[in-house]
Amino acid sequence: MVQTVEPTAFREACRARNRAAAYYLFNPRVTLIDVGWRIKETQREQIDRELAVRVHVHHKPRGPAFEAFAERHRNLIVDKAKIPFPVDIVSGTYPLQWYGYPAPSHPRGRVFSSLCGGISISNEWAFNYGTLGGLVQDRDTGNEMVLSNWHVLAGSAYIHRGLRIYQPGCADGGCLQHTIAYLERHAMNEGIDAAVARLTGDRQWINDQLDVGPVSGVAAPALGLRVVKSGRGSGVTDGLIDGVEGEYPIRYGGLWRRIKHVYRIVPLNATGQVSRGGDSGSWWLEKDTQRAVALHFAGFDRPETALAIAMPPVLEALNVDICAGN
Amino acid sequence: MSRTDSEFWRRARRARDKLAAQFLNHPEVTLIDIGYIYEGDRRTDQIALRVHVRERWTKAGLKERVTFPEQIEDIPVVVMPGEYRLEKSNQTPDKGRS
Repeated sequence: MVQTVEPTAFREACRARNRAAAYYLFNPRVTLIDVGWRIKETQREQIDRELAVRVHVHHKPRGPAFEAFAERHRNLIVDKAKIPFPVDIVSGTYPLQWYGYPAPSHPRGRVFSSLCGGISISNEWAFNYGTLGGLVQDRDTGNEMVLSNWHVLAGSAYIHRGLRIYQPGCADGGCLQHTIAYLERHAMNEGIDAAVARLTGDRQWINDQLDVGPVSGVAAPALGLRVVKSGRGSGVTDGLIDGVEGEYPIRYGGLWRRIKHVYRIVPLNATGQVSRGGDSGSWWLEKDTQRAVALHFAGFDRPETALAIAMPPVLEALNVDICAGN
Repeated sequence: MSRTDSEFWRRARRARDKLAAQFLNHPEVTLIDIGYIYEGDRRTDQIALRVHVRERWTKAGLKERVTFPEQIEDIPVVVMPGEYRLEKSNQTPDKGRS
C-alpha cells in the first residue's frame, strides 16, 4: 500500500534536510542525508510512519560506547537541536557501485593484523586502493609511519594533514574502523609523488614485503638492475631497470608539475607483467639484496612497463628512514 | 659508451635537462629519461636520451607531429611509445589494468 505524505510537512522536512546537509554532509561519519520514515531499530528495523530527516552514518555507537565516542570526537556528533525537524540517525554505508567497487575478495585486500608492504591501502576519501609500500621512521621524532604515493595517501592538493588512512583501502571494503594512520606530509612540492602517514599504533607491523621477505636497507637504483616488488594489484613481480633519471609531467593543484628521479622497469621476459592498477605505492627491491631502490607509481601496457621514483630522494624529501625489525 | 663513465653521465644528465626544458610540457610527451635503445623488441646495450610519447603521436602523420632533435651533446635521442598512468585501482579498464 502506498504511504502518503502531507505536502506541508514534506516541504518542512526538505528545508530541514537542507539545513542538516549544510551542517553535516561533510562530516566524515555521514554517508547520506535524506527525508523518509523513521526506522525502528528495536523492532527489526521496521519503518515507523513518522516523517524524519534521516542522517545516515558509517557506524552508530550506542549506550556507553556512544558516551565514550562523544567524549573523544565531539566535532563528529550530530546535534539534533540544530535541525528543526525530527531527526533519525541511521547506520548505513552506501559504496559506489562502479567498476571495481566492491572489489572481488583478494588475499591482499583483507584486513592485516600485522601491517607490511604489499597490501591494500587508501585514504578515507578515495574509492579505490593502492599499496602500502612499507614502514618508515621520522628522522626527528622517531614516529613510525607508512610510506606510499601521494596520489594514494592524499590525491588532491587540497587535502589536509590528519586525513585518515584505511587498511584495507576503501575499494577493498576499508572504512572508519580500519583506520591505521593519519596523513602527515608529502613531497609533491619537491617533485616526488610520495607521502607518509603516522601510524595509530593500533596494529602491529613487520618489516616485510608480503611474499617477498624483509627489506634489508636502501640503495640507489641503477641501469640494468634486477628488481622485485610486492603490490596489491599484481602480487609479486620482477623486472629490470631499463631507463633512469627521468622526468614525468603530472597535473597537481591545477598546474603541471614534474615528477623527478623516475626509473622505468620492464619485464625480464617478453610475456611478463611488471605492474597493474592498485600497485601504486609499492616498493621495488634490488632482487639480490632486498634493499629498497624505488617507489612504484605508474605503468603502461603497450609495451608492459612500470615507472618508479628512486628511493633515496624519497626518504630525503620526507625526512624518514626505513624501519628495520619490528 | 660505457655506463660507468662519469663524464658520460654528467653529459647525459645535462642533455636530458635541455630536452626536458624544451619538450616535457608538450602534451604528447609523457616521460623523458636516459636508457637503453631497443631494436624492435630487443634491448641493446646502447644508451640514449629517450622521449616517451602518447600513442597518438606514433599514429600521426609526419607533418602533424612534433619532431625531436636527433641528438643532444652527441647523445642520440630516440622516441618510444609510453602512455603511463598512475596505478590506483579505479582507472579506466585497459587491457588488464583496473
